[in-house]
Amino acid sequence: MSSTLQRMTLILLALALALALLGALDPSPPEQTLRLQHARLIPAPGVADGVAVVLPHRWSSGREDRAVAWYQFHFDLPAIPERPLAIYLPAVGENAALYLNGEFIGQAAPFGEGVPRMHAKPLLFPVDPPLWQAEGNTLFIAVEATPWQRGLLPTPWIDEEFVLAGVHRSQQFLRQSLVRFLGVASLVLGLVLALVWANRRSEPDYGWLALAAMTWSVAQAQATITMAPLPGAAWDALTAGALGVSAVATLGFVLRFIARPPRRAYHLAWALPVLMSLATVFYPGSTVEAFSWLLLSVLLLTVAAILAHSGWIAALPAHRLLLLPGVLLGSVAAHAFAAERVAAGATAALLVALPLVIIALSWKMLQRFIESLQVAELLNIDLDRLVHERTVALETQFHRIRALEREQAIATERERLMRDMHDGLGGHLVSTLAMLECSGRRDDAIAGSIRNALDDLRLLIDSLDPVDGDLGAVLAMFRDRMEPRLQAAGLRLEWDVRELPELSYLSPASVLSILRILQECVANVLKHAAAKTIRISARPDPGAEEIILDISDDGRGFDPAAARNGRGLHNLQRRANALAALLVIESGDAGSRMTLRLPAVNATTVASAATDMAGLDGTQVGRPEPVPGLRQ
Amino acid sequence: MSNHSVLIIEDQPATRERLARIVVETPGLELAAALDCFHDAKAWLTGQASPVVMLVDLGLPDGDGLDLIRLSRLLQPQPEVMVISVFGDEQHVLAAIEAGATGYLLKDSEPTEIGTSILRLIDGESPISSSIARHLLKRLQPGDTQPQATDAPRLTQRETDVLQLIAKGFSYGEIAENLGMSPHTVTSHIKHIYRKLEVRSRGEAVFEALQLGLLDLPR
Repeated sequence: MSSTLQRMTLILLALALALALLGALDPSPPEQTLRLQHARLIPAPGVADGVAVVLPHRWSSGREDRAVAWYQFHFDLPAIPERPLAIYLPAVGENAALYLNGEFIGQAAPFGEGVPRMHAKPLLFPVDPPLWQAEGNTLFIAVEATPWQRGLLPTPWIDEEFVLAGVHRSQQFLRQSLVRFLGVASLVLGLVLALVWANRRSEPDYGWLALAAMTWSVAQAQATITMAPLPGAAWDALTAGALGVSAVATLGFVLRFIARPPRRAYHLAWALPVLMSLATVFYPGSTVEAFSWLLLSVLLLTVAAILAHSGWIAALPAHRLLLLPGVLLGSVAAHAFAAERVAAGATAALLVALPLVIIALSWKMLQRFIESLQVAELLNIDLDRLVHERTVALETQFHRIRALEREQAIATERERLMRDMHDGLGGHLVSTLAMLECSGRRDDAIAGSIRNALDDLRLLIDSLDPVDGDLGAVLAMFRDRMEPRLQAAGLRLEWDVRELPELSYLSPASVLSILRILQECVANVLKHAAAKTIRISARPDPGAEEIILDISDDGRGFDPAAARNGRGLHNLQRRANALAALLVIESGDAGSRMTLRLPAVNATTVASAATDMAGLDGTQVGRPEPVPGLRQ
Repeated sequence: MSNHSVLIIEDQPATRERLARIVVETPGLELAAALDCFHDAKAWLTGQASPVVMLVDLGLPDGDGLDLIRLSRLLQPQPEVMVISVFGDEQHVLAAIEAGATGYLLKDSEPTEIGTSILRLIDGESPISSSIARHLLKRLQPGDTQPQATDAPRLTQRETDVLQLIAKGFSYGEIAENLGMSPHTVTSHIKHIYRKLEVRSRGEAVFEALQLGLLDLPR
């Protein structure tokens, strides 16, 4: 129900607008204004004969070069005026000169070459009080028409100057300034639409509207340009044709935009501009011309009906706004239709209403264009995002496949190595150990050496086991390998490994480095420390994004300064550097401690680069060599 | 109480002799035979009373030790099988477990350790390493994308817990404390898990055979 209310409100608003427009363009004179409705049409001033005419008076100029009609008025004033009076003419076709009591009081434009176009320009002629008489004033008005146009003299108004100046100002604004402004606006909009259309040929809507807007801006020049830039007949034909084209193009656009693509019958409408051009020049004042204007009105009524209808049935409130231009144009066109262009206001109203419709529609179309740009932009952003996502997904997939391939290659290699070592090197080492044992010679040095060799082999094989970045798994493997040795040596193991973050950079090389560091440390403890307990702990240090790996014992410690020169510590340091890890060794009376700070993230490149470099020439890359902290 | 007989199949003479000596020297164990090739072992297994424990090296010169393990599973009574490995790596060990083994020995382990391991196996305790546990988890955990028989045995929650802790490097004692069970229970869990892997791999073999049309199930 509220939608019906909304529709009715819009219709009433449009009707009020139309009434206001029509009323403003055809104002009634104030009560006291003297209106000269009767005149004599005379051949020339001073010639006694002539015919009485009632104003407004229209006449056809015929085919002469120029036609001038003289009107003679006789009138009395209530009194000798004290303040300046003025004579006001709402319009004149096309030029006029005024003589009061034998004195020339003014003209619309100079009479001379060519006829100036004054039919849409309100004229005001102030006359000083001395010229007026209380009784027996004689006014001559010479009206000049173009040879092919109808001459027109409306009812002159006589009143105090300031009263008529107000009327004149408002009419000047409505019929000239406003129309000119609308002309410029629709020219600009038309050009913009034409540019859009030139780049979007697939959307003819823009083209239709551009044509309507630009031709209208040509048509309005008929009213706003005084001196025609073309020979008179051509100018009139052009502007009348342009008005026709504008109306037909508007219909074409409205059909396309709102209803459906125009049918073949629509093309007949293109005859209208031609008819209007011809009728204006060749049959001024004839039924042919009247018919062409009738057709124009019908066409505009059609446009208005389509707009109003689509506005009426629209579901969206925004679309219902179409009721506004539809009803406005419809009422104005209907008024012109009824008045048969007699009222000067009707054509002027048409001149204002049609561009308002065109401008409103142009604005709508530009909005649509901008919206489509924005949609395209959003789609582009969407597309970019999609492409980016796909790229990332592809990269991820590629990396995963690479990783899988690498893992597969490592697994294959490991299998080959193991098969080989099982039967070869490993088997020989085990056999040698067995033989040594069987021979009954308990040579611990040789046996220890062989076991070390076996341990090294096992670490190598363990390092090739894919651990998926799980340092805990690496430490567990290490424990499996070392626990029997620790138990044999009577060492108690304290195991404190917490949940650790994934180390994405754990490659066989880095796993081997970590295992070797651990092995070296545990071997040192076994060999030198005479400890009872060895403690291995690993915990994340989220603040530093590191994993802290710690091996400590309760043995007798060692002298780090002396040990630093040894090969063992140097090796430890080199491996730590290869891992981009920080190695600190402390020793004191209560035991020794090795702390390895492994980077938890983003160390992949550093670590692998360091591994490569270190593998080549033992250069220390990554962190600077730390000074071992001493706990004496 | 009679001694448990142990059959050794190992082609390297020194290792074979060493193992044989350890078995002989370990109280509670007696040596059934120490053989050096697939052929002899197969003949022995089909001809003689089955041993209580069988120690097998997989890489025999004339055959695959895995086949011997599978063969042993058909004997009555079934012997417990340990695979003898240089590295104790999961590839060898898991293959052996899939064939039916329930333990592994490192060839260079200390004599007492080897003896204890064998006795414990007889007692129902199977050895395991962290990497074996890790790989077992990968193979036996649900979510496995490999095709499998629908009745493939799955790990219980308890078994999964045990395996996860072993994979992280905890000892039996630590795990028992952590999970509130005895160390013995932990190790018997492991034996069950090994058996599940065997059943499952057999199931998978049947499943694959069905897929390939090599087998028909009675309907």
